[in-house]
Amino acid sequence: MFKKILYIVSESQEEKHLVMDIARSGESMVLLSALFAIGCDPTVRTEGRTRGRVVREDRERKCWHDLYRLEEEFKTAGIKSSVMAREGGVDDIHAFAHNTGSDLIVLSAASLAASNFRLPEEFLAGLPCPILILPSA
Amino acid sequence: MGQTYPKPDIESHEDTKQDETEHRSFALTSFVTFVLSWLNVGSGTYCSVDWRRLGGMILPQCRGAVPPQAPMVKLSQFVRSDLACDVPRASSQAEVFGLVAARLAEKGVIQDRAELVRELVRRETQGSTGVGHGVALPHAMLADATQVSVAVVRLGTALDWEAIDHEPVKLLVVIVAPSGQRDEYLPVLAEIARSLNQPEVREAALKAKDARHATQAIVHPPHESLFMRNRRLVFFICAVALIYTTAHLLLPRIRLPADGIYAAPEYAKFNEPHWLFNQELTITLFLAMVIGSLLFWRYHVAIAAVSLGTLLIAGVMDLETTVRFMSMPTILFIMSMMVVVRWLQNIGVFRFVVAKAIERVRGVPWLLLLTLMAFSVLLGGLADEVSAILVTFGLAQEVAKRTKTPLIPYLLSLVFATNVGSAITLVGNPIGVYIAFAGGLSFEDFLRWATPVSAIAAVITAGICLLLYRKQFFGKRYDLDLRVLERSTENMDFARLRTGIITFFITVVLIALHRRLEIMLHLHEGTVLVAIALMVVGFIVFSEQDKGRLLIERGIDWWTLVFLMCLFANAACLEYTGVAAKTGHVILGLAQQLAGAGAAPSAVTGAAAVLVLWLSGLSSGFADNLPVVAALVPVVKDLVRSGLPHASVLWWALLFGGCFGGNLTAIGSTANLVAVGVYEKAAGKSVGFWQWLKYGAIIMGASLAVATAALLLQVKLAP
Repeated sequence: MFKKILYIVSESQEEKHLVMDIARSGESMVLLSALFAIGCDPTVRTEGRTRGRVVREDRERKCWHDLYRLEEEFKTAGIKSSVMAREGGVDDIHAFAHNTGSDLIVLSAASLAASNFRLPEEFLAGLPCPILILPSA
Repeated sequence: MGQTYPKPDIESHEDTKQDETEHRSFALTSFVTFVLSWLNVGSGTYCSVDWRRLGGMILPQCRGAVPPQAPMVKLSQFVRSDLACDVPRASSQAEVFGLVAARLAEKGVIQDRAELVRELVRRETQGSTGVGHGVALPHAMLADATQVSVAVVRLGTALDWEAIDHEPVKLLVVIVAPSGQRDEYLPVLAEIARSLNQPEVREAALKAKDARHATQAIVHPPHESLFMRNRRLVFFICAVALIYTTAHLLLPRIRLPADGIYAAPEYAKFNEPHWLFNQELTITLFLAMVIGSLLFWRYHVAIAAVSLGTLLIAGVMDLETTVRFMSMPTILFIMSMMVVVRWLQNIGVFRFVVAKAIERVRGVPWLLLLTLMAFSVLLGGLADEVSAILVTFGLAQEVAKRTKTPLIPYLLSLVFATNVGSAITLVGNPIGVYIAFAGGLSFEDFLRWATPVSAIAAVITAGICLLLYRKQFFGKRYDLDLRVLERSTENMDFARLRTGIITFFITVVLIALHRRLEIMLHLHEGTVLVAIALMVVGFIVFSEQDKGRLLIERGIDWWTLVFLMCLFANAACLEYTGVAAKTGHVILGLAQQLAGAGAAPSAVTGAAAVLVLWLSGLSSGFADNLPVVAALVPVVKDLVRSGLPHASVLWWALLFGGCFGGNLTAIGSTANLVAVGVYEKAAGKSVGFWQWLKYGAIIMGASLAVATAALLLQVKLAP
C-alpha cells in the first residue's frame, strides 16, 4: 500500500475521512499540505503595499492554523502525520510530491480552481506517483 | 502503443461555460478588491475576494463566502528569551528534549520534565514536526503546564529529524501549552509556522549567533521600509525621467546632414521640432518598456500594450501604420512554428531522439555533456530555443540526480549551447525570424552566413565548458542506470513518432527551399516561408482531428505573441519617427572614426558591423535580447537603406550580437529565464548573478570574437 500520502488539504469532511481511511488501512504517513497560489490573487499582487501584505499574512496564518488543527485530528485518530505549506500552484505539486517521496497524492478538484479547473497536460505525464482527484463538494 | 497526446484534461464544455460566468464575476470582484487595496481602504474583511481561488487551502463549501480568520496572536507574549537555549552537541531528539524540559522546569513553565520529554518524543514518532529548511516545531499539551510558552533552541550540530525535505534540523521552536487551551495553542503554533516560513525571518533565526538572538529574530522580524518595498518602482520612475531628460537634451543635437547618404528628403523632416517631440516620446516609451519588463516581468505584456497605446493616443503613429509595424508575417510564422514544435513535443520526438543518443554514451560524463550540448545547438537552431532547453535540461536533471552531481554545470553549458545554436537558422529564435523578414533574408542566406559562424562558436563554447567544468566531467565514469531514460520512451506511440519525425524533416527541407520556391512561383519574399508553416499546421490539425483544437488553443503561446506584436510595433516606431536614422548616423560616425580617415567604404561597413555586434551583444546581456534586437532592426534597416556598401553584413552582426550576447547574464534570453525557472524548482535555490556572469562573460566574449573575425573577413563578400 501507500507509505506516504501527500494530501493537499481542503476543508471537506468527506475528503478528510477518506484520507484517514486510506491511511489507516495502509498504515500510511500523511503529509498534510497546502500551497499558497500567490499569482492568482489580485490583492496579493499588490504585495509591497501594506494591504497586500496583510491579506497574504492572514491567509498563511489561517492555512497553518487549519493544518495544525487537522494534524491534531489525525494524530488523535492514531494516524502518522506531518504538516507543510509552501508558496506555489498546482504545477508545483509535482515537485512537492517528488521531493517528499510521496506514494500517493490526494487532491480535491476544488483545489484546481486557481487554474480554472484545468490540469496542465505535462502535469499528469510527469507525476512521480498516482494521484487521486476527488470531486468537490 | 498508448496515445501520448493529449493528456487527460479535467474540463468539459459545460464547465467551461460556468467557468466563464464565474470568471467574469471573479474579474469584477477582483477588480473592486484591487482598487480598494490600491486605495488602501476597506473594512478589513476583504469580502470581495473569491476565497475559492486563494490557493491550496480551498473552502469548497463556502463559495464566495469569507472564511473565518485564524486568530492573530502577538508572539512576544509567548516566545520568551529566558527560555531560549543553545545545545552545542546532542545525539538524539530525546537528549535535546531533556535539555529543553530542564530549562522549562527551571523557569516554572512545567513541573514534570519526564512527562514533557515523553510527550514530545511520542509526537515525533507520530510524524516528524520538521517543517523543512532546517527547522522543526515540536509541540505538546501537558496537564501541568502553566501557560502557553515557546522556547527557541539552537543546535550546534544539525540533527536528522526525518523532516519532509530530509534536511537536518538546526533550529527548534518548542511550543508547550496547558491541556484544554487548544484555542490559544493552535494560533501560536500557526503564527510561528507562518513566521518561520518567511525566508528572511528563517534565515535571520538560523544565522543568529545564539538562541536568544534567534528568539529576537522570530519575535521582531526584520521589516522593510516603504522605500525598500517599492524600490523597483522608484528605480523605474527615476530611469524613465532620466531617459526622457537625456533624449530631450541629446536628440536636438543629433542633426541628420542634408548631404551624403542622408540626403533623401524623408530624412530632412527628422530635424524639425514636431518630429523631435515624437522622437523623445518614442525612445522614452520604448526604453521604459524594456526596463519595465525587466523589473516587472509578470506585467511585461501589459507594459508593452500601454506603451503602444500611448504612442497611438499621442498621435505619433496611426492605426494602419501600427498594424503594419506589428510584422504579421513574422508573427504568423512564429505562431505556426509554435504549433509544430508543441505537436512534436507532445508526440515525444525531441525527448526520444535525445534519450536514445544519451543511452549510447554509456556513462562517459564529458561525452554525455557534449551530446546534450550538441542537441541543444541543433534543437535551438531547428526547433525553438525554449523547447531545446526544456528537453535537454530535463534529461540533464535526471542524469544529475542519479549521479548525484551538481546541476549548475549542465544548466550553464546547455543554455550557452542553446543560445549559440539558435543563430544557426532562422527557425530557432524569434530574433532570427524577425531579422529574416526585416532584412529579406532567406534560409539559404542563413546557411551561408550564420550556420558556419554559429557552428564554430558552438564548438568553442563546448570546449570552454568542458575546460571550466573539467573536474566534474573528466576522470570518472557514471554508474548510470539508463533504463530510467528508456522507460521514458517505452510508452511512446511509434507510428505517431515516425509521422512526427518525417513531418519535421519535410518542414525543415521545405523551409530551407523557400527562397527558390518564391523565385519559381514569382512570389514576394517570405511568402512561401509563412505558407509552408501554415500548411504544416493545417496538416497537423487535420491529422489530430478533435485534438487539433486543443493544439491551437494551448500550443500557441498567445501571451508571448501579444508581447511580440506590441514590441515590434513599438520598435518600428523608432524607425518611423527618425530615432533609428539618428542612431544609425551616430553609429556611422563612430564607425568612420574607428576605421580611420580615408578608409575604404567597406572598412567603414566592417567597423559599423563590429559596433552593431558588440553593442547588441552587451545590451542583450543586460536586457532580454529580443527588445534589443527589435530596437536595432530599424537602425540596421536604415543603414542598409542609406546605401552603405556591403551593408547586409550588419544583419548578421545583429543576429550574432543578439543570440551570443544573450549568454552574458541569466536575463539575456528567454531560454535562460526558462532554464533558471526549472533549475530553481529542482534545486530549491537560485543562480547568483555573479555565478552566471563569470562564465557567461567568457562564453559571450569568445563567441563574439569568433563572429567579429568572421564578419571582418567576409565583409566584402556581403551584398
